[in-house]
Amino acid sequence: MMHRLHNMLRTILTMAVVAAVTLVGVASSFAMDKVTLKDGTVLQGEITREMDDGTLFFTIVIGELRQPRVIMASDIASVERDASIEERQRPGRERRVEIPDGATRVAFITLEEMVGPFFNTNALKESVRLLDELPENERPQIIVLWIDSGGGALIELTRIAPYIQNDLKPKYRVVAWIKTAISAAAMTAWVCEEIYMMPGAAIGSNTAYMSGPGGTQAMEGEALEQLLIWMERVSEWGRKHPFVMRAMQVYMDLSADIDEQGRITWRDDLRGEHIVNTKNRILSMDSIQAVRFGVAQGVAQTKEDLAKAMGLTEWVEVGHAADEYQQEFRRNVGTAQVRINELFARMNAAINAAGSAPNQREYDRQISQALRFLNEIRSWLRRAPSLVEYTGLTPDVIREIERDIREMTRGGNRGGGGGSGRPGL
Amino acid sequence: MLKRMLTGILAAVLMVAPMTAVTVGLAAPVRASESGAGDKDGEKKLDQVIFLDGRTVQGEIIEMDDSRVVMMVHFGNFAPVRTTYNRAEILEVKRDAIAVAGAAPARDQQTGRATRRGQPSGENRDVDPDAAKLYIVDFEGLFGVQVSETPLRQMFEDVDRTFNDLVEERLGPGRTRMVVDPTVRDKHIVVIKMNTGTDPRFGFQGIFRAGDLRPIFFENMRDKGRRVVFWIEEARDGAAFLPWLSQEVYFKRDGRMWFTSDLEDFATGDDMVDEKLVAANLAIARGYGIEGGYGENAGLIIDAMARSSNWLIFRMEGGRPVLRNQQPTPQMLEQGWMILSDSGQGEFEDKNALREFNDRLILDADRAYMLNVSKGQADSVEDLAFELGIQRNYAVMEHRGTRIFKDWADQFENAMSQINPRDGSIWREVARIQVQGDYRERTRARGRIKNLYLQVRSQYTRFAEILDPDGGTRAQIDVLIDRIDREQQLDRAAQRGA
Repeated sequence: MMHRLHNMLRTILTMAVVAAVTLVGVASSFAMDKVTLKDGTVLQGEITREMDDGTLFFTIVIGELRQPRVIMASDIASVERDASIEERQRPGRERRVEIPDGATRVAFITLEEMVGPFFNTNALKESVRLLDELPENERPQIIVLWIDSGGGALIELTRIAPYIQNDLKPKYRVVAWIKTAISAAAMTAWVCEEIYMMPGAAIGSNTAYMSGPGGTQAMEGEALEQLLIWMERVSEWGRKHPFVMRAMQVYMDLSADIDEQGRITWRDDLRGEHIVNTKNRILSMDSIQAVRFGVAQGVAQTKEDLAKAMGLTEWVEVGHAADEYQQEFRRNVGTAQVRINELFARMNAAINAAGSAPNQREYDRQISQALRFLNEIRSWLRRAPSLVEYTGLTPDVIREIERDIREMTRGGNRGGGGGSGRPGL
Repeated sequence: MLKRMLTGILAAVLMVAPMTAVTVGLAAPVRASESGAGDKDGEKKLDQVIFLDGRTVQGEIIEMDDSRVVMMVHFGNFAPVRTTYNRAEILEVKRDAIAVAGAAPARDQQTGRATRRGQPSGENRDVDPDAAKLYIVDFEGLFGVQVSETPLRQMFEDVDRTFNDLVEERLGPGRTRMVVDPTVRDKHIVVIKMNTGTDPRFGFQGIFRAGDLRPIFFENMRDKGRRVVFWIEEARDGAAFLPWLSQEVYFKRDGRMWFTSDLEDFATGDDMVDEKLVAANLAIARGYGIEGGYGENAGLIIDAMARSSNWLIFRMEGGRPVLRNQQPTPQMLEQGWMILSDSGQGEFEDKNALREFNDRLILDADRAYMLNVSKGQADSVEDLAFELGIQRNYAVMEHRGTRIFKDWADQFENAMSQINPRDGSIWREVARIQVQGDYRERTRARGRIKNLYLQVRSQYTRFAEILDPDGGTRAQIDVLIDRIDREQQLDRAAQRGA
């Protein structure tokens, strides 16, 4: 009865949707996917995401209105995809771009959130692979890395900086365009010889530290020495004076003289004309400081501004798929973080419930649910592979958990009505 | 006959309009709604339905019973659509919740070129078209909570509707966007009266909430070209960043912009890590001022506002404020340098509650004006109009902006009274339910608990931007629901065994 009512409501809603679309005339320029449900309802709009089990994240489109909805795979009879939408949603398929002769081709890749899980070398490699595979006349000449990150894992820096230096820079003109680059994100941008700042941007604060049960402690000793030396090399790669990076990492006096030609002479004392940092502070620069002291070449609020600052007269944006991949990657990591925690809690609850199961059948059912949750965790880790490293959930660890759960199946309490018979009371 | 009548009415309205304008221009300004006849023409009230998942729709409810709500749903300028909703999915039904003007075509059918959207509300129709129009909205309460993304977006939508001044701008082949008509951009002014701040417990860290709201201001001010004026009574912590995005800031005479905490107080346990975090925060904060066009001085001012150990001194040179972040020598003081904030250390520490505090800079109306942060002082709308140079002819528009924030705040407060983990009514209800008795009673009790959990979850969805931006809390609630389901499964299994 409820099911019928539900179907009725759904049909009415769909009729309303269709009516509205008819009244306003379909926004014809819009690409539409069509999903037919088993009850005959036809929904038009955009498939924004598709889960492995066939569940669709669907946005019903009525003129300029959009209403998101999740459609379970079990409710779907058929799906007709609009090719243009599909192209837009699937990384790897390049949107057709009109490329005027002589225009410089520029690709933008956004690198955001935490360095490591989100701002990740392998993900960047995948984006670049998508660009490498473009036909030569569509391949970018310039890659702009748009950075908005408060930092993250140092270990990732030791991969991403050499990758940019050794793999990217020989093939492309690589430019960093900064919204926020703090700590490991600033150290990543540092490898780029060309840096541009958004007006409200910040770069610096690169002190490495460790946090743990014993508190927070800045890196020191041999490890710090190695990192300072390593960042000197990165400064060399990025053609920047090493004192500036050092003042962003540890306490030091830093001043500069700027001559009439704009040449900057750096000093590790306070005798220069411009005091940039004192030895009780860590350096972080705003956009004005970054340009004045030669860390950045200019300030750009928009892509147009950036192109102008880079000296491009005619340019065209290409390689959208590279950034779409990054966006999808970050979405997956964000969702996976939440979902994996939840799935672990559910898995543990199922294991505990198995312990209280009144009979063998229920025991097996709970154990099989626990295994299903573990499989879902595995599936999320496939979609967000950076979490394997940053959560420590390697395939071995997952296998070990699985083995433990299966052991329970073999040797566990087969109950037969053990316990009170009224679990959970 | 009808046509003649309409023509007559239209002519009468046209005659009234210029007369009203003269009154507005030469005498005290009046609210647009007070001018002219027929203000209420076309106005009607719509019902609003709020769903458990946070969605809302508006329209006219035709039928309603325990199982369903049938309504003519209004989607923007489209014709209303009859729709039936399942009552079980509805959190709240509000009758006559929204006042709207009569629908109007979005396009000028005759010329085919006009692309203005919406229609000014009935109260605003008789405003002199040459008058400057002020949309004055109050930002009150906790910034980031009462003033958060959803109502802010709704407010800017209401601004567009009220001014009815958007036109299409071509960006390139096949690409357009809606922007404020350049011919009226100067005259259509949003005035944000700020008497707000982020939660003082987080002090300067309110900058993160400011960062969440910043793109909405950007979208409207920079991309759309909307003129926004900030009028400061109190802009505290997170709220003290956003005014920097506009070049038009005015203060009330006792207004102030300030931070309640000192970045010096960062205490991670390691001095150098503290310095790293302070430097990062300051660089990001300075970005607001630089982005708003306040240049290098913004950096020095914000540093002095945020960190007590920073000196800030100034003097006027050639009519412009010159700032330095150093302790002045006696000679400098003789040369007219003034201390705005000192190091707050040793003899400079603010101890005497009777004297003015200056360890950290508080931007009051005078200092803000002196430092070119504010363009002037205004205690009343008339003062503000004078400062804006529109005193001869302006109108204060009727709008829903303040109502939007109030409704949001009321709904949030109501939600918190239900879901606050300490004493929320839903949690108290959960605690009262005893899962006991026979199987049916236990099943029913679990069903009630699960339903209550779902209600909590739906409120977290509705206010996710404030309470649960990453979905973590909702995931925890899902685990609670899962536990209830699991208990029920075990109970059922035991029941079958028995």
